[in-house]
Parts: sequence; structure tokens; C-alpha cells
Amino acid sequence: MSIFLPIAGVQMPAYLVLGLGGIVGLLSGLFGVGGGFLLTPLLMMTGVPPAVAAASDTNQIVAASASGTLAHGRAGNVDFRLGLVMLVGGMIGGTTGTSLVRLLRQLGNFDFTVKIIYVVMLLGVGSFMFLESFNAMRKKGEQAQARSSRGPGLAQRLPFRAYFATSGIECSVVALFGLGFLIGMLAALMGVGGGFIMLPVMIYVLRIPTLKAVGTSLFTTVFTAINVTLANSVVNETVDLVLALLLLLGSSVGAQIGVRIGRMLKAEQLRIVFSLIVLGVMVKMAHDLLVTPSSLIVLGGGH
Amino acid sequence: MKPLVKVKTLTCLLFALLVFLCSVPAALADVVKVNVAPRKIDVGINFTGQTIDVTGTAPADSQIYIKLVSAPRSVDLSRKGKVGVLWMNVAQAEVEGVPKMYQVYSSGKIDALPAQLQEETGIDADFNAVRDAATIKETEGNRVRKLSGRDGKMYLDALFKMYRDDNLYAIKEDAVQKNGNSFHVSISLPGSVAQGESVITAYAVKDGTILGQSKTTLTVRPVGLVGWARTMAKTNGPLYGIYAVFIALAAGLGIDMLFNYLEKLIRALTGKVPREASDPAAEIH
Repeated sequence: MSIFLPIAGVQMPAYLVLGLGGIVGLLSGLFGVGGGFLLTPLLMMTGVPPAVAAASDTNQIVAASASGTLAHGRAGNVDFRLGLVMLVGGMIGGTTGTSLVRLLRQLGNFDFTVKIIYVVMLLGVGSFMFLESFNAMRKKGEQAQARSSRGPGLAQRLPFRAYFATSGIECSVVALFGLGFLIGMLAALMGVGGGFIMLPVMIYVLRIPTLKAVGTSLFTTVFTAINVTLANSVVNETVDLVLALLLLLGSSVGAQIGVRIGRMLKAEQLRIVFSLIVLGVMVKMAHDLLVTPSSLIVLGGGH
Repeated sequence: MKPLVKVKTLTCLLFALLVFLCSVPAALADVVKVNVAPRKIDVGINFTGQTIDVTGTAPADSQIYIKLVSAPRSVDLSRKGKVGVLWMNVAQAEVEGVPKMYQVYSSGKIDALPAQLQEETGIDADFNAVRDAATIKETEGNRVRKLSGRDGKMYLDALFKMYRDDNLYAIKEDAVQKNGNSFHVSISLPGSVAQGESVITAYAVKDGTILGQSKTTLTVRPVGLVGWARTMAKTNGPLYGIYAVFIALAAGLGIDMLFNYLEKLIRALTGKVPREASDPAAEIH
């Protein structure tokens, strides 16, 4: 059955939209990421204008992340207090980053620099996570020793320390706010959600257990996605409610399945799959940057 | 000749000229008559496109050229270019005055029309009428420049290709069927058809001269949920955004409750507790 999408102005098979939403929701539930990196280009390939694809995608992330957060929350995997502090930092960082983009654009070569940094960052984070998780899977016996040899990180040493019971860590509120601010600013600069940066930071810098990091990352995503959906509706008029509705039905179901698969996987298995996705996104971006595009002129908008 | 007679003669001549000029379009219109069925298309949630029938009458020995044009609008485009070794977006362009639909159907060849007639009717193989009416505002870094449709050829070429691929722009020669002094063509409009009013013009041409022309309109309007969403998104963005967020949150909550219920049901039926293999010892900290 085909459905006409009112804002996109095109028709699409309903099962295709539901299926795409389901796949992206699965990733959300599993890794706490929005999935815009995957869904926006896929929607564009099916004829949805880029600006509508990006905005409607953000709307469905609200549903997927809310669905995933509730499921993770019931299993005790969402640190609401910690997430809230990072979220406030992220919101302020995002606003600062948006203003910074305007300023940096005037200096020229901004997009070039940002793309290079993003690819290098994805390569670095992806490779590090892959190697770390791979080693953890191979040397499980040596894990305890490696763990105990680590001293407290900077985030733990800064002032205004508080104990976050759900994550099981003692950490400086200033550091959490600062990290949230940095992630928000980076996300605004790169023009992406932030899940890719949030999860590794929570796992490796804050040392939150993987599953709790996924749940908490998803919790913060709900609010950032709401913020962007409202902004897109008011400023750009590009949210397609029908497209988003189909996507979010699929993605809410996908997120629930993702959460349950995540519970069955071991932490290092989860990290290694996530690292492979990060590396996959990096390869795709590098490919887009290096290979001559099929058309030099495309419709504007989108990520 | 007396001056008064001169004035009277001149007045009579002017009146005769006025009557003649006024009667020309009417005469041209009378020679050709064009109709479209249906005249109105409702775009609802199940809309996948629609076939329309353009019919009419024209002198039997003339060739028929039919043009379907929607209202002009503005489109944003991005241009990629090489920066060092990388392909990136290097310019943005706002193209104005380009219709979303521009279709030409004819009973004869377009080449058979003299150049001057092609210009007059806006019927040619390269959509030059659209190019002439379009303006392009290109932003490249800090530099902004205005281009005419002819200067911004690469933008329009790319846009026309996208529209042709979507069946929004088309040139189909020998597509109009003639039977005596009546003609007919079926036009298949895609789901992405231009909304609003489009004008269909039929020309009867013989020996490089227009014998007559006639116009009719086709109205495409969104209805039901499609109409509501389009109007709401354009007229009340904040409320539309709040609806979008609440629907998403409600769906997220509803699906979570459903899964939770199903999980409990399965647990009650099988007596099994879902396996959770996340091993705290496997954590890196």
C-alpha cells in the first residue's frame, strides 16, 4: 500500500517506511544513537527531499528514544540525574555551537575542516573501541587487573563531586556539564545528533557501564530530538507528520527489540558492534568525500 | 478635406481597428477548443498519481501542440565541487520562477515549429521558455551573485533532469491522437504532481502559423490528512511541531506499554525470566 507524504509531496510504500523505521529503531535501542546518519540518506534515495528527510527523521527519533528510554529505564539502565546534567550542558553547548558555525563559516573552508575532523574522529573513536572491545573479548581473565590499575580520571577529580547511584560512579558535576557542553557544541558544528560522541564519552571518560551508558544516552536524545523537531517545524516547515508517524511506529517497535537484544549481549559485544557501525559511517563519509559524485548539483537541505 | 471630416474618418478607422483586434483572440479561441477531464484532482493519503484526458477540437489539417505548465516557484539547490582532494558542497543556489511541471505533447514534431513560434508558444526541445523566466541567486562562500536562467545553465540542466526523471517535465512528440477535427491525449501525472492551478494550452499550427489556441486549467488540491498537514505546517508551525512531538512521545509510550505487557504475558505463560547476559565483570572500568 502506497502512502502520500503531504510535506515531502511524494508517495512511498508504507511497508518500506515502517521497515526503515524498524531498522533505525533497533540501532537506537541497541546503542542509544539517533540513527539519522543512516535514515536520512536512505529516505533521500527514495525521493524524499533532503530537508524533509532530516526533519521527519528527527521527529521519529523522539518516539524511538522515548520508547527505548522507558524500556531501559525499567531495567534500571537510565541514570536520569547524570543524563539531566549532561543534557543541560549539551543544550547550552548546542546553542553556542550554532552561533560558532555562523562565525566560522565567514572564515572560509569551514565545511572542509569540519568534514576532515569528523572523519578522523569517527576513525579514531571507532578503531579505539574496536580494538579495546576485541582485546576485552580475548583477554577476559586479565580484565580485573587492567581495571584496578587505572587511577581516577579527570572527571572524577574535579570539584562538586556527586555519587550517581544508577551508574555507580562518583563524578564531578562540573565535568559532566562540561562534557555535555562539548558534545552539544561538537554536534552542532558537525551537523549531527551527538550519539556517536556521547556513548564513547560515557563509556571511556566517565566509565559508566555500557548498557547504562546506552540507556542514559538515549534519555538525553529524547530531549535533543524534541528541541530539533520543534525548531524544524517553526523555522523550516519541513517535518512531514505522515512520514514521521510511519517511521516512528516502526522505530518504536525496533527500539524495544533493540533494548532486548542489547540485554542479551555482553557489554564488549555491544561495543564491538557499535565500533563497526562507527567505522562503517566513517567509510561511507570518506567514500562520499573522495569519489566523484554522480550529480554535482542536488536538491538543497538535509544533514 | 475639412478637419471635422478628418477626425470622423480617423475615429471610424480606430474603432474598426479596435473591433478587429478584440475579435482576433476570440476568433483564435473559437478555432481551437480544449478540455481536461477531470478538471480537479484531490490529493489524499492514498494518492499515487492520476491520468488526465486532454481532448478538444481544432482544424483537421493542423498540427496540435499542447503545453501543461504549473505555477512558478522557488527551489534550493546545492553544488558540489572539489576542495583539495575532497568533493564537498561549495555553493548554494536559490532558483526562482521555475514551474514544477512543464509538459509538452504534440501531434507533430517540435522542430517543425519555426524558431519564432517556439519562442512565442514556449514549446521547444530544451525548455528555453523556463530558462528565460528563471533567476538564480548563487551563494559561494561569502560571495553572492545573481544569474539569469541562461547563465545558470548547469543548475537548470540538473533541475530539469530531476524533474524529467520524476515525469514532471516531459516532451512527447506524436503523442496527441487526431481524428478529423478532434484530438486527444492521455497524460499520466505522477504522485509528486504540482499542487495548485496548472494551465493547459492547446495550439493549432499549420504551415508555421498559429491558426488558433485555447486554454483550460487543472486544479490539484490536497484533501483530508494531506490537506490538514500542509495547511497546518505552513500556517501554524509551532502548534504543528507540538503535535509532532506529542504524537511521537505517545507512540513511544504506547509501544513500550505494549511490549511490556507482551513480555509479562510470555513470562506468565512460559514461566521464564528473560535472559540478561550483560556481565558487569566485562566492563572496562
